[in-house]
Amino acid sequence: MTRAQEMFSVKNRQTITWILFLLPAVAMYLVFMAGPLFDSLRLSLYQGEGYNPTTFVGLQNYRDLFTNPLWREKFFNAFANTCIFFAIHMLVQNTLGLLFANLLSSEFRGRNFFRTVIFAPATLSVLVTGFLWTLILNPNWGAVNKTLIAMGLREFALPWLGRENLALPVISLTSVWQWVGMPTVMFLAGLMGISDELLEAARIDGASEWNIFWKIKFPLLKPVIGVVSILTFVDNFNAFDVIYAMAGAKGEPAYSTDLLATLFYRTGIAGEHPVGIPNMGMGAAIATMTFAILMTGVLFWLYISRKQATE
Amino acid sequence: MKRYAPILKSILLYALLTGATILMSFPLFWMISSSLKTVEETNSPGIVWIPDQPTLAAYTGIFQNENFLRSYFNSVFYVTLSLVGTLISIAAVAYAFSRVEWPGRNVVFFLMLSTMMIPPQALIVPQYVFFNKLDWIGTFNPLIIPGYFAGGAAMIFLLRQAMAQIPKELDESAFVDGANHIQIWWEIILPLVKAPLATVATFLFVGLWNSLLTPLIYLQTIDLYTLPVYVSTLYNINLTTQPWPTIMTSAVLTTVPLIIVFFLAQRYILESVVVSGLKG
Repeated sequence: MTRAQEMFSVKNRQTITWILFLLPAVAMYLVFMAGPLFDSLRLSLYQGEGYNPTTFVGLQNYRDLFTNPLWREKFFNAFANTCIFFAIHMLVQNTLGLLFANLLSSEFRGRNFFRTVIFAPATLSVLVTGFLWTLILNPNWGAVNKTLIAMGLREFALPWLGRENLALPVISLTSVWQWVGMPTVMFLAGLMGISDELLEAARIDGASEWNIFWKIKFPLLKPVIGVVSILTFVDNFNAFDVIYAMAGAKGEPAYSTDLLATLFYRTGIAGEHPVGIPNMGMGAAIATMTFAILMTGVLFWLYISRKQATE
Repeated sequence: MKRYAPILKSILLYALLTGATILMSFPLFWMISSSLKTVEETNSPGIVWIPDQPTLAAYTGIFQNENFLRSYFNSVFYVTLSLVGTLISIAAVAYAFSRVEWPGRNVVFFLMLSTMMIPPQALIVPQYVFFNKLDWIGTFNPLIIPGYFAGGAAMIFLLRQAMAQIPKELDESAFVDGANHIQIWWEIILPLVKAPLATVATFLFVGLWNSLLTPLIYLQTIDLYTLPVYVSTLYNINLTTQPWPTIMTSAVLTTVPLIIVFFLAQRYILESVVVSGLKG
């Protein structure tokens, strides 16, 4: 056999065996994801009590969501809160991540220690983080308020999780505390990909660290910034655990921390006061809207990154 | 003046990082410290940084608690089974997406990546209904079996990126020598992606160990509770005085395996984030 013929028979064998490698995943995505996803879309067109609504109502659930004052208020409240929750992560978590990564990218004693410390909270259970901060922020015996009072700053010892205008930013910041290691590691990886010669040359030419960051590192990091942004977007528009652990499924106080996911959970799964019976159809409609928001965001990101790549 | 600039710079660097360290590790310190306090100390108006007489009462209490011990065992059991299956299937799928050429590969890959956009909550109820039909509610099956079919598009992506960077000639010459895909996958490709595999394993372990919502929904009986589900029952919203030492003790014991695993794996994590081509 010539080498070409050999390669040909190899290709033939390939076409058969790759199926083996892919089959489990295809099965998984059909059975456990695609199926339930379409089922969820279908359910959003139905009404009825319990887990199996049977009355077909067309787009009535969506009409209610946008026009019925009862639903509209809840939905847009949750949507606005989710936007704030995401914005705080985007601004605080990712800026800090960029700062930490920049500090950690130079060689110095104890670098590995600091890297470990910054990443460690990301391994904690959200439940543990939630309990921990609930204890620390407790209005009466929490460490934060006790310290403030000891320093004579009693007027700043606020009920951090009990005030409507405070709870959402405070919970968002505890979540930033937990996850800041993620963008740090990703930015660090990006910074390590920038050639040392380039930075060295700029330093010899007398460029300040500030200028090196903005004129060289930042533009080269743009692709990583894109990836980090889109991950932050998807993760935080899906956020559920931290609110559930710190503010309960109702997004206490007074729904001021209610996110799209907690609204969905109450509507579709737990059932909401006073009825206490899950409204699966409406829950599915909320889930579909969340999916649509995420899809829009991701497509927008793909469009922007394509455009930048061709420029 | 210029002579002192590097010293000033490193003082600033260490000052910033020390501040960050205090901020990042204080809650963890507080968790450990609170686990050694008495209930009176956690709820007293004065600050108790480190208890005068640290007590292990919460630890001895929780180690005599049958439900806690069983939930610990349940967690180890389900995480091990799930981790093994998920890791093998993710590695197989990443191989099919990176080392094998077939028509439509990029389309399928993109479709798989787009599943990352599906809000997990949206799938809960239809999945519940599905598992209910299989009579799997109140068993570990809904937590373990789906993993065996490659759970997690992000992890597949990470591993695929690493595998795609291995030179093609390597498996082509192995083919000519008569090796099949399974052999090439197991004997050539997998040993070359050890660091990304370790990273994926760590992320999966952390995710599974900490998972709360799915075990909460599917397990339903206290005999099957995993650690986070059991810990969540310790906080009782109806009580005015929470048993904080016990809660924090269970938090410490939940966190210890995570810290160990993370400590062992952390050098692989950074290495493979670099390899996965994030630099663009």
